[in-house]
Amino acid sequence: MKKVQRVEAIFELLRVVLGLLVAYCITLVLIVITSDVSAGEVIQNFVLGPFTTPRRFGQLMGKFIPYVLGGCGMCFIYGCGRFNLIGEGIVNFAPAVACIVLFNTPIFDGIPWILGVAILLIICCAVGGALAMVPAIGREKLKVSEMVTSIIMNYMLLYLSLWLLKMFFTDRGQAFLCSPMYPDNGKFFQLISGTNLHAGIFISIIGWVIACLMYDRMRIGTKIRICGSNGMFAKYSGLNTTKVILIAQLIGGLYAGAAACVDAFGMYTRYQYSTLTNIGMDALIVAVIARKKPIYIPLAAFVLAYVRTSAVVLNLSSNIPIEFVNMMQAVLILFIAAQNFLKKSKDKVIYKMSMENEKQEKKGEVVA
Amino acid sequence: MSIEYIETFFFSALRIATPIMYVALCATISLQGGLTNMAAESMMLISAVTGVIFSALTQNLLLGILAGALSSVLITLFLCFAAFIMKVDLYLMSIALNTAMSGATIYIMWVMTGNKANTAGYFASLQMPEVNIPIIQHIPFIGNIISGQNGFTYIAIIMIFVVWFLIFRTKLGLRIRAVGQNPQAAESVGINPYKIYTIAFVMASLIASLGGMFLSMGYQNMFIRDMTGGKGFIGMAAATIANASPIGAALLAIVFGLADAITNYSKLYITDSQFLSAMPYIITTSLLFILSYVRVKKNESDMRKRKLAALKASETQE
Repeated sequence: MKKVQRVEAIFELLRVVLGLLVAYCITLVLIVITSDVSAGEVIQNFVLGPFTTPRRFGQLMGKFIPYVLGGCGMCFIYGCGRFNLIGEGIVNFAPAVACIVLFNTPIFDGIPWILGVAILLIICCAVGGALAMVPAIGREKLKVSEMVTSIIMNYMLLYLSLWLLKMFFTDRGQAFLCSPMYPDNGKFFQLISGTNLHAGIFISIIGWVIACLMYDRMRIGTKIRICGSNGMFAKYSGLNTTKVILIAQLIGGLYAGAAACVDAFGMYTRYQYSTLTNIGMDALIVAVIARKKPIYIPLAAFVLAYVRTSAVVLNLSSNIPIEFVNMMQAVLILFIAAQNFLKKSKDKVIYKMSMENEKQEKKGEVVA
Repeated sequence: MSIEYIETFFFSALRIATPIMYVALCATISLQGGLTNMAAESMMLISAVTGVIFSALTQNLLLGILAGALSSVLITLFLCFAAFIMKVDLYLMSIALNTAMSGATIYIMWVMTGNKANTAGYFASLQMPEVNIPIIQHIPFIGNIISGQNGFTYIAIIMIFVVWFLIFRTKLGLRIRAVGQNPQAAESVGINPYKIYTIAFVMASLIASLGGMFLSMGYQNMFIRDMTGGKGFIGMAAATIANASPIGAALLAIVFGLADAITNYSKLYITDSQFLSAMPYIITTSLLFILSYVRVKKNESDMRKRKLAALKASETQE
């Protein structure tokens, strides 16, 4: 049996790598054909762009940090078979609530950095967890599709966070809608000055380790995986599926809150979101590329962050809209999440192997 | 508050409700087939941009609409290929497709015009004309509300009955419902569920494409990036609450349109634009929860009544 499992793992990897390659090539060809930019320039900017200067690499890391946390959270939500996409709204709303505490209460006066950041993180996580429960409970108790609720709520949270910003902590001295500068104990400092690589990466690492332990080594992770792969089996083996699914989405919400915290207080010097950030959707893509396994999340997050940064670099030099990367995602998902992609060749390999095994066993019997 | 004011209020409510009505009908068809159509947003976006471009290039409204509908069908066939042949999770693919189409429409717009925000000034695209209904327009109050709407609005109202007829009065509709209620049972009598799903999705995409083209060729005469703004999901919510009944879904779409119109009209009294923008979504979410709660409770009481009746029947038999 172990051999079969190994073949399946190899094909899983092959599918992801092939999917990435195909999607990447299609995008490159499409850009070269439709725009007047030369192929050399595209390769220079899109393929190598993010690694040319430390600043650009810092930008990549800045995207990478929230992707890891969001992706880990999405592993739990997607792992139990629910599509709760509230992460998108949480990224806007949770930091807005944290900002009210930051700017409108005296808690942050003179406390050390580590404590200040911890408070911000706790607030963001609490808000994220609470918000994620709304569509989740709606689904389990009222049978409302959690996807519909969460997507409508994303728009609601976007405008509500703008409203909070305008009502409570806007900086009237600025021309655009934003908060005052964060104080030093209310933000993640830059690890290398001049780049976006900030201290939030430690939170990402801790979050990733916890997610791996929870998902692979603890009982709750196993329960979530069982619920996701076969809900009926979970129910008949005596699991309280409703509770497990709710807990999974709560964890997802907590992680989305953490991602919101590191993004808002690490990447920017003030609260200045005016649109949805797309981090929530990208987190789902990261979870899909990592095949719902938290252990591969950093790899997947790096790939997506790389592609996104490449798009920004290309956009700066040639004015091609950043959004073309979104098209690439559909192709990517088509190949990576498709169960029937490469299935025939996988079956053939497994069949061949088991036939050989049988032959060998027969030979062994004859000799004996 | 004058009568004219109320008239314009209801007039704009009906106009705002039109795209939601289309999406609600589109979601109804797929819900009857047992699947949730999450890709309505992408069907609308792609048809909106294609409709604008083709109507401008050919200077023919009908060709523009046909091209828009065709693009929407193509996208849906791609979705069906991915979901039913390649076996990607349908919802996952729909979400990916929505993001992809949001990007693709911007990219198409950029390739064609060099602008990333809208197509205004680049394309002389055509618009569906407003229609005055002969007799009704002279009725005092109702005439001003119902008559003079955009052509797409009337098509939407016709579509309600078309969808109703299709689902409840035709052989295909029966098959769609059969597959929706129990795919295995339908398969056992020789119906291929995946074929039926695909047909249902293609029909849904045709209706959704009309909704998309209303946005870019009726309500406005240009394509603006991400112009659907979550309308696909609001229509979806309407269809879910109405339990996939076409007439109920359309009525709920009008309720959501009213919510939007209330928001627009309260701009005169509430100046907080951010909170106002959140209003339609708050109303939709709360309505979604409240009406679902009512439905769940009603189902429960129905079940209890049935159980009681069954008990009584068994007692009398004894």
